Amino acid sequence: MTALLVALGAALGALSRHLVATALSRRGATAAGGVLAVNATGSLLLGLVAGHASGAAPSWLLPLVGVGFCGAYTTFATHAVEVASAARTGRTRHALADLALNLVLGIALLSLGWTITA
Amino acid sequence: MSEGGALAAVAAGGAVGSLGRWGLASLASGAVWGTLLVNLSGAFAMGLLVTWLARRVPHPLARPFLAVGLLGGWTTYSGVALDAHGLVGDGLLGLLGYLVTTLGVGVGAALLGLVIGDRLWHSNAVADEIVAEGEL
Repeated sequence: MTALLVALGAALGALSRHLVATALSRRGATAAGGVLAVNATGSLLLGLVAGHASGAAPSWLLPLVGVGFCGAYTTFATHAVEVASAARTGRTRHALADLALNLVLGIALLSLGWTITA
Repeated sequence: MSEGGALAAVAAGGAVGSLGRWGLASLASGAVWGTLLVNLSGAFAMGLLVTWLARRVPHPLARPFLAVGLLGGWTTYSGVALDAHGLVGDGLLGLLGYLVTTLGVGVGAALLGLVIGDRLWHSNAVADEIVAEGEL
């Protein structure tokens, strides 16, 4: 049952990242900007969900929305390759800004979400 | 290939990748090395994958299934943020160690994947264009 919840949430999460990335790209966002947007908003959502789940929450919430949706909606692999590619093509400042923005926004928004619901 | 086929590939890849990540996290009993392992291996695999995509004419569903879905589902950034949040109470050293390992070794693994892929498939400039412009 838990596996089903994870798989369902993940299918929706991966689809949502695809749709958000496509929509942002049409509006002129770079690929790195699209990844930053999903990683930041996904971290906020996981903070809200995990904070709520630290108290009395329904048992389906964390596997469906936390592990499944947020896990698949956000991505580390694409982010790491974008930073590596920027670094090796001489765009060092872009690589460092990309690393710092994802990290700072991710942790700050996750903590904010947790504080709101915990 | 229809947009519907690509959407199905993204959803299926995301489900499979995330089930794998969840399985590993269960084995790790939620310890941070579970997140580390999926993210470091996924970063390396994505480096290899983009160099392969740059040189082959892959099946139209290969990129949505493997890159957007499977590796996107296997790795997680929100999980890194949650791990970091949980480590704050355990002292600054553990938190810094985790973040430096994730980002430093993660980017290193991606770079290694790109470099090995370049050697295997002779791809470098095109691979960097895919990373900068294509959706992964």
